[in-house]
Amino acid sequence: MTGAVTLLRGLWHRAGTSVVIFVVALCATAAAAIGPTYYAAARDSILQDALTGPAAFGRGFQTTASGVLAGSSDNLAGLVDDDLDGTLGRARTQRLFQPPIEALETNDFFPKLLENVALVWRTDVCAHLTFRTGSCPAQTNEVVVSTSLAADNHWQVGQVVKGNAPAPLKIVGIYRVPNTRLDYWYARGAVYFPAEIATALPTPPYDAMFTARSTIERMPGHPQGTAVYVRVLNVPRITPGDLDPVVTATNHLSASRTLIANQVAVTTGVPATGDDVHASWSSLAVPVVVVTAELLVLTWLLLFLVVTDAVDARGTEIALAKLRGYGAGRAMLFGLGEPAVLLLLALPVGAIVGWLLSIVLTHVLLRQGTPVPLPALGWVAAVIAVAGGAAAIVVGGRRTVVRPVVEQWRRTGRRVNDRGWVFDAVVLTAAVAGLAQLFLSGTLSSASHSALALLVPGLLGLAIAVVASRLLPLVCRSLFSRTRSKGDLGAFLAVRHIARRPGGTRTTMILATAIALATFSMGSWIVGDANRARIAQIGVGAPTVLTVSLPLGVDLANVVDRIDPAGRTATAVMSFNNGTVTLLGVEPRRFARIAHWSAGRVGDPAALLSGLDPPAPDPIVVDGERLRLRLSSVTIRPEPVAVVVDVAARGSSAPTPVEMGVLRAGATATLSGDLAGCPCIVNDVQITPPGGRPGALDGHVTITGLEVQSGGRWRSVSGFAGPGHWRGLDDGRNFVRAAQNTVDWRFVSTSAAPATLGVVDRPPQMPAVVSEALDRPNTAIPVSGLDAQGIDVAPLDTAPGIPGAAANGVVVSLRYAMRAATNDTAPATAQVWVRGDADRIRHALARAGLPVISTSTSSDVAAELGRQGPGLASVLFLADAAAAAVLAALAAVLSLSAAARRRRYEYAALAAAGASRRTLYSALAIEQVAVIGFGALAGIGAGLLAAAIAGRNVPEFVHAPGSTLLGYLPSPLFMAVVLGVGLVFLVAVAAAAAGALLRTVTPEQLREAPL
Amino acid sequence: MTTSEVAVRCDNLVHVYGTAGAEVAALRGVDFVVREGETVALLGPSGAGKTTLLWHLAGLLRPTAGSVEVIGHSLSKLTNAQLADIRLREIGVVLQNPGRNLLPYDTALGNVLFAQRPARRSGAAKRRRALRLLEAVGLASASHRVAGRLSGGEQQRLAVAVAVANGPGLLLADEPTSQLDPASAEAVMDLIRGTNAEEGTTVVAVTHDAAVGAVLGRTVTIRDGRVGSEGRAGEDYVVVGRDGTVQLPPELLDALPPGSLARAVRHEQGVDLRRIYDSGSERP
Repeated sequence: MTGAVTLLRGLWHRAGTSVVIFVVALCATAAAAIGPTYYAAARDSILQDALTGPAAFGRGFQTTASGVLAGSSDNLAGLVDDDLDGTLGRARTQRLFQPPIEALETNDFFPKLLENVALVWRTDVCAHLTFRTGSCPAQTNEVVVSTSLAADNHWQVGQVVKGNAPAPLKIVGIYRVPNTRLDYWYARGAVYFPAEIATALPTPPYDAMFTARSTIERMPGHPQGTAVYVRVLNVPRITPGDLDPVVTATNHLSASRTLIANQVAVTTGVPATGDDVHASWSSLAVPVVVVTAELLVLTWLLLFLVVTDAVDARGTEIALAKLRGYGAGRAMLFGLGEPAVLLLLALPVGAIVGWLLSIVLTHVLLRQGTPVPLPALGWVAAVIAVAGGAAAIVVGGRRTVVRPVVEQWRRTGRRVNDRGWVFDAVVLTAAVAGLAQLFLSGTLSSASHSALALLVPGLLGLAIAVVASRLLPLVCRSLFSRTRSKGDLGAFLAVRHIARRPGGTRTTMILATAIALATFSMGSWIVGDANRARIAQIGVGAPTVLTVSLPLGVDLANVVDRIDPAGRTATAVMSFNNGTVTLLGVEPRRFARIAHWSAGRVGDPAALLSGLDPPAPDPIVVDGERLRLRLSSVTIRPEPVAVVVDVAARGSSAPTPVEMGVLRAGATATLSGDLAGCPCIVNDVQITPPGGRPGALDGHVTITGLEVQSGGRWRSVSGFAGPGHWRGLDDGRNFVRAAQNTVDWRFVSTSAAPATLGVVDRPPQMPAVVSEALDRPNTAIPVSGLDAQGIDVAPLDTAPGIPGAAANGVVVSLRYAMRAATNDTAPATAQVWVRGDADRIRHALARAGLPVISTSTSSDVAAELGRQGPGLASVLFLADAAAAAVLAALAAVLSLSAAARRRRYEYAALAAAGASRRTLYSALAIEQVAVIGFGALAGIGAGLLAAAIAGRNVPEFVHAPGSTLLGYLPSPLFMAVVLGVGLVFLVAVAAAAAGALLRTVTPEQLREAPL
Repeated sequence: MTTSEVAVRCDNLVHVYGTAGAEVAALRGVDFVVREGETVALLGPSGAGKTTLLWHLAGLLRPTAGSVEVIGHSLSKLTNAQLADIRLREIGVVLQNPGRNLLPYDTALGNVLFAQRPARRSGAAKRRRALRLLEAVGLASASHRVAGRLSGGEQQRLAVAVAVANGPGLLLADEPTSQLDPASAEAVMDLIRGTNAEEGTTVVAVTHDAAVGAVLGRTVTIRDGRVGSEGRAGEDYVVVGRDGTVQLPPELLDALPPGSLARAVRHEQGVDLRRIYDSGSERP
């Protein structure tokens, strides 16, 4: 009991030292605990991020069985549930999956529509639909239809419609198409709502009619169709431990012989999700281990440093204990009891602090709501840290404890404290061997990304620190004669103390290593963060990208122009990806301002895009019931011929031929044909032998007028003629001359093709800016237009990265892309790219009748990339290394102060002999500042060198983008500011410590005469 | 004189310090005996080897040659653990600097208990003895005061209490009064003598202070690493060394200055030294 009281009094007596030892021990345990704790939370966050992605496909499965519908649903559910229960167990299945969703799907052919319409029963469907009018079908043969189906066919609630099914169907409600990304519509959105979701798919064009189960089950005969059984994971309940069993279960389901025998098809993205999650976990696990181990070793070294100094400072007390008859063990207990108690106390406190820091990191970096338990592995790591710290305490304190009493009193034999060259050689050899191994293993090759690169700063820092720590005393020794001759007592004392203080080299070594780690980690974090932001920006394309549902016939560019007349906030983008190349139809000026061009390493996007919109005649638009063509000077061989005008209505996938009649040679002729579904754009005029027979033609016509009849009146189509407005086949035998009001056309055609006079409303080859990667000599770029048909582009320029399409982008004018697609943009994706107030644009689009289907922001994507393993690891590394650097600096100041404290007698004597306090302060301050400043500079140099060697090998992404857009030079200004501030702070602390120490130098010290 | 009556015996004790490549002989063959219950003052000039001899008696140094026997134990044959045990049970030490004898942050009582901690006695017994000792040294009222805040005299009295906390047979004191005012010095010496008188503790004290020597039973003067003389009952005697050397007291050196020749003449009580001048006669 008295021993405990004495120990507590000792701790209080040495409060400053006790606090430092406790803080270092606490940081060691916290650093150890934080790794596993943060890793556990990050695993959960990564898993939840992956499972809650925008596509439900990756978090569930769908089974389908086609055939006779009667009884098929229950049969399918039974088969699937049996399989799941067999692999996961019933209770676990119930816990991990949401309630099942069943569906019965069949088609009903409506002769009046000439189309099949899907008739579907789906579990609890009305809870997932919103009704514009009407209600849920409760009775047999009641249905609800979509707004588009109702509008297209003028159906209304209460109307009875009759298909091929024996019983007529009564419409009881009209629903709005729901958000099919919700789990409920798993993999079925494009099937049920093709009119809105999947216009390009070969499915019936009409949205499904939903009905009661009995409608389908009571159909007479044996109706055929598809039974569907869907299970979606209950994501919030999924823990990292559940992932592998779930993946195993879905894999088992896919390969189930029973299901295959019953012709059940399984669709699931769970295994792919599992692979992605495991890849992300792996990319985090190794860095966490490497970073934690590096930091643990460093904190052990710090503990060794502070404990050695602390125990050394207690040398006289330990000698006293031995004088009083304390044996070796008891003296050890007495001498090391205080740091041991501090270490034991640091175990729970450090673990809890590590846990709290993990909570903070989780809150800042990980998915909101991620639970942060303190796992058993966290406690184990904390115990390992404490055990390592205990070893450091024993090693650090043993020398003092076993030192003979007389030596302690005489203060002789101190040179044994100095570490020998053997230790240096061992450390240096190990560090160099480690670096060589990393080089030889290919870890540091230019194309490699490995978490083992994180070892480089530690090894390199240690190697440089070992050399630097030996260099400082040598430098100081070289200043002996100069300080002697200059008469500056402060510098005279300082350089001698640095050169002769045995612990000085150790301080420099640990400080330099810690700061090397901090410098490297900061550099790699800055680089990684910038690269993740760059990849996110180039991938998304703009700060915010709104994908909209574009109703038929709506010109997106016009809508955006009305919403944002200044053109600084929003721009319309239509894109189509053909699997190889992404075509982006843009408004060049707006696009230059709004897209993330800097991420594509383009300095002047306006200049880059300036050539996309060369002048071209406007399209010839006709709108009316009939079309009339006035011709003159007609000479044709053979005659007569048939004349056809091709027009394209908005949204039509192919031009519509308008039969104009038969043409014979003569002075003048007037031909006319019927128009339908216009306004339409005139594509061309074709002349063929009558009846469509193949045959060669030779002739000349002059088109003197193009007119449309609307409301019974004919009016001329303005601007149908004009220079450059028409073109013929360019084979040297055709000739087109367009004057202000007439078009002269001399044609010669082979039998294989009609004579065609095409309308020119765009450049024949669309000017384009393409990704550098696509610009290969003598290789055509396989571009598809917005209508999914191949088009020719003429690359004007290239860019390292195209916003929204990175390395496979082709940017063209939206205006010309639309004309090339003859307004058939159904296969394309309509987007509005926004820089600024996205909410305002979203609301304005909604008001304009363009609902936003999905929103993507570059900041969200960057944050998501940051939440993947490498990003999380870099933050952990930075936080731990920064903490270690601060601790190392603290320990260095403490060590220097402890050394100086032992010299207080000397300073008191100098003061008594007339040395001014300024001189004494200068001696102390120069010593502190020189040792700490030198160690810090050596560390910064080592860290920067490590960054230059291994910076590009540090993993930044789970799946490396392989982009030439990545940069590896951290912002020099930012680095300089942070490191400069850190260095100034360190020097200031050292100077302040010197001042504090000097205040304790009093004449009373002289009473403690050395023996 | 039997072994049991001898508290301390040094036979031809030699100690050589080796530092930085140089060797310094601190003790050059000390023969020295202290009987149980005796009080002895070790006198001598600085650097004579007094403190080195005291550390040998405390078992803190190993002899380069010769032997040391304390309370029946030949110290050179003991292990470190056995030496620690001897120091615990048989030897108490008071050091020169009052503060160095104590844990400055612990109380007076705590310091005494600290010295008793390794002893195999009950906690209550230790506490009783500690309080009795504090009362004996006049610090009963200061038992809960922190040692670092006691005056120099109080600290040194406390140091004596700490040194005798385990009832040692031998009390070693190194300049116990050097930093004290006369009153405090007298109080400390009273304590040491009282310990000797009441508990029969043998006392060996190193001192420069003749007054301290005067109150102890015997003085032994160390010069150049050897026992030069002894003082008993107010009279000084030279001590004949193992090799026949005799160190004359300084006050006799004018009769036999260094370098002079002398004739040794045996007679019934011993040997006379008579100076011989250059002429070969005993007169100048």
